[in-house]
This record gives sequence, C-alpha cells and structure tokens, in this order.
Amino acid sequence: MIDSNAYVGEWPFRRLPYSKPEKLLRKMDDLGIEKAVVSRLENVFFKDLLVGNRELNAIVEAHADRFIPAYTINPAYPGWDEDLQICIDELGAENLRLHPNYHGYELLGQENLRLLEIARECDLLVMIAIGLEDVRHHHRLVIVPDVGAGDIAQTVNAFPQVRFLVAGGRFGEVSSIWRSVDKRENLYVENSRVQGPIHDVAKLCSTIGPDHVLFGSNAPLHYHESAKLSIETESQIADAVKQQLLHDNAARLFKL
Amino acid sequence: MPIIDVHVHTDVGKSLDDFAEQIAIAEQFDAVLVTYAIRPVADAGRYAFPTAEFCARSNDETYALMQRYPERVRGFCYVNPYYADAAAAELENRLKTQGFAGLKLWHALPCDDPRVDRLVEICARYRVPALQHTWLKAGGLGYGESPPEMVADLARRHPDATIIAAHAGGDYEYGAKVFRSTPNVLLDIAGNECNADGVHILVDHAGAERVIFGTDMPGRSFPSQLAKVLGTNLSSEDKEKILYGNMARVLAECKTARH
Repeated sequence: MIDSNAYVGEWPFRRLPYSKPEKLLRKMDDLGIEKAVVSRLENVFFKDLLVGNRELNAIVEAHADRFIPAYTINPAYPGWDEDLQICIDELGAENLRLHPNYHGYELLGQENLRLLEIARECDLLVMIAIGLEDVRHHHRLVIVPDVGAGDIAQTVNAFPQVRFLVAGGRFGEVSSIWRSVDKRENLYVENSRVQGPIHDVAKLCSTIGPDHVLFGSNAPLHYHESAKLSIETESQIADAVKQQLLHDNAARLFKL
Repeated sequence: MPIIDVHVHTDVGKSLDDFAEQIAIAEQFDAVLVTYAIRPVADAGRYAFPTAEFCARSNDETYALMQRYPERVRGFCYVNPYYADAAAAELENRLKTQGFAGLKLWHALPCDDPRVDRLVEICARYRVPALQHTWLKAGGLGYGESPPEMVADLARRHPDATIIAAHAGGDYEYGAKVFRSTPNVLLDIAGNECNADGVHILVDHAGAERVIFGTDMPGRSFPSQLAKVLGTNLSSEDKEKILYGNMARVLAECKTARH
C-alpha cells in the first residue's frame, strides 16, 4: 500500500498520536502501508516554509525507503520562487503541496500561475489540499473554508500538462471538480476526507474511473483506517481495482 | 464482533427496496441498524419542521423496515415536539404497539422547550432512549438546533431517562467536557470526520461505558465511522462496549411492545 496524502509534524489545536516520524512509521507498519507521501504539517502555519521543507527533507532522508516528500510552497509569500528553486536544486523536489486557503491566495492569481508554469516546465506533481479538517470544528479564530471546487477545476483546465492530485476533498467536492474539468488525463483524487456517502469509493470509481482514485489517509489528523477500510471493505469493486487504488495508481503517479 | 449502529437514516418516500444497500452493509459488518426517517426523499436538504402527518408517515415507513428486517432494523420514533399532543400520542403509540426502541429528535425545537420534556418523560416510562441531535459548529448553530449544553441540561432535568447526544455534540473535545458530568447521557459518535484520537477523548472524559457507535448512513459511510473505533488503541473490551455492549444494554431494558 502507498498512502498518497500524509503529513509529519504537530498541529496547533490538539495533540496528534502519529505526529512524529517514528510513530507514523510504526502505525504504517501495523497496517501494512509500505510508503507515504508526506509534507511538513507545520508548514500549514509557518511563514518561512523553507524551514519546514528542510526539516521534511531531513526526515525523508532518514527514511528514504518509506517517505516520499511533497514540499509546501506559498506563492503569496516573498521569495517563494527562490525557495522553490532551492527545493528543486538542493532538496530534489518532485512533488509540491499547495494550501491556497490557509495561505490566503487565489489559485488563479498571478503568482500561483507563475508557480504552475514552473511546475509544468519542471514536470512537478502539484498536490492541492482542499481542506484538512471539518470546517465546523475549526478553532473559532481560525476558520478556514475548503478551497472552492470551481477554482480547482479552472486551474486544472488551465494546465492540462501538470499532474494534479486533489487532496483532502470531500465526495461532493471531488465529484464536482471532476465534472467541471474537461482535460482530466492528469487529474487525480485521493479518498482521505471522502468518508461518505455509502459506497463512496465505488461511486468515485464509477464517475472518476479507477485509474484516477488513490488511497490517502490525511494522517496524522485522521486515522489511516478510515480510507483504508473504505477501499478494502468496498463490496462493489473488484480486488484488482482495490489493488489499483491502494498501490498501483500512486506508484504510477509518483513514478515509484 | 457484532455491532449496533445507533444512527442510520432512511428518507420518507423511499421504497423499501432502496434500503437494501444499508441492509447489505449491515450483513457485511454484522450490524443492527437503529433507523429513523426525518426528511422526504425529494428534499434531502433541510426539512427541520415537519407536520405531525409527515412524522406519522415517517414512522409508518420505519415500521415497515422493522417488519421487513426484524433482525437488522430497530426503529426510533420521529416527532416534532411543537405539535405537542400529536407528538406525545404518536410516540406512546409507537412504543406501546409497534416496538419502537427510542425517540429521535432533530431540530424542530431546541430541547429546552417544555414540550420536549413531556416526550422525554414518556421515554423514561418505557425505558427507551431519547436521541437528540446536537452539533456545535464554528460558524454557528442552525435553526432550532440544540447546543450540547442544552442537551446536558435536558439530561439533568430527567435523571431517570437515557439521553443520547447525537454526534457527541459535534466537536468531540467540546462535547467530552460538556457531558462528562451527566451520567445518563450516551455519546453517539456518528457523522463527524474520522479525526485521530476523537473517540479516545470521549472515553477519557466520559468513560467507555458511555460512548456508542453510530454512522449517520447513508450520508456517511460505514467503514469511515468504524475506523474511529478500530483506529484507537483502546482495549478490545472497550471497543466491544462502544460498538455493541453499551447500546445492547440500553435496548435490552426497553419496555416496549417487542419486549
């Protein structure tokens, strides 16, 4: 199994059981998860993301056989382009993660368009994090709505050559994005925050196609078991499809 | 391990055959589904203030499911407390003659209304639980919605009744604090996202004996909600209490037609 959407690090609002790399790895071992795509969770709130990205690089270097890094870039912050170049040149970045809602910018804004142009030129995979937790339970001083599905659809349409992984989208959001995009070959979704309706994974496979749906946990914010069980216990898809979702699609997308 | 899911919806006007998907899931996970209908199938959005006639039709349809799937479905009676006399009569009749196992209250009225007290008194007499929707939201409560504190006060006014706080109050950390000193409140974990350690927080404050499993199907999937319990490192005994034992004990005490 490959977890396509996870983090390492702490969260300001509560203690997380698998925030430390060693604990996350132990949990992955228990569940038979071979590899995970990880970003630094602190980079949701850090201003200087290069600090978090360097920390992530050190963590990944220590567990290179288990972790695949996705470096977080904030194109609304000064010097992001130089930081991105450092991530590419020094840290070997192949995957980027964006938090447009937490970092406060428009996906279709000038700076992000420039970032996506670089992603296209350098063949970088771009993860767009729609949301991290149910907005109804956010701290009252930090209420951050999910990224709009329409904005993501327009962004994907504008850069059909860029590989996008939409992370942390709920069923209605990822379905809406898929319906709104007409150039879908490079669009992928993962199931960490789907969590319904019943037979959600089978419905995603039906509407989006089993080649474009990946297992993702949103750990350590969520338990891995939610996304994992949702695939493994789905009675309306074949075992071969489960294998695609749990492993093969991620192996192909992340070039493993 | 058998499971009791205390929070399953059907929609009014849905055919019995349409519920077969939920029954298949119940068979797959060896689960009993505590079921109620609160919305018309054609309006799956908000329908918080139903007529007494709508509620009666809702309960007719729940009863049809109970008869069709007696091993898999237990029904809770849905009423609008605003129509006080009709609601009381509807509840008592369903408990006395049809074996309904509890009361479902959504958000027609907040639960500090005296008309809710009258219904909870009936529940206490028949020793069935009253499940009250409650969901604290960062963006504010919806129309008629009861905050967790109001549900705790309801429980304090009725110490002989069993109150089920749906969704454990919405925000588990908040609900755990609000309900830790109300021993007659059970915390239903249905509907929320599968946050790591959410159920641990409830158990730490209220005890494993007061946490019960629910899914909020069909809006939520069964495995995503089951993972909230299976993902914990609680003992297997505590997991069994949450998934089955606590609610089995409550259902066994019901003094309704079935018993």
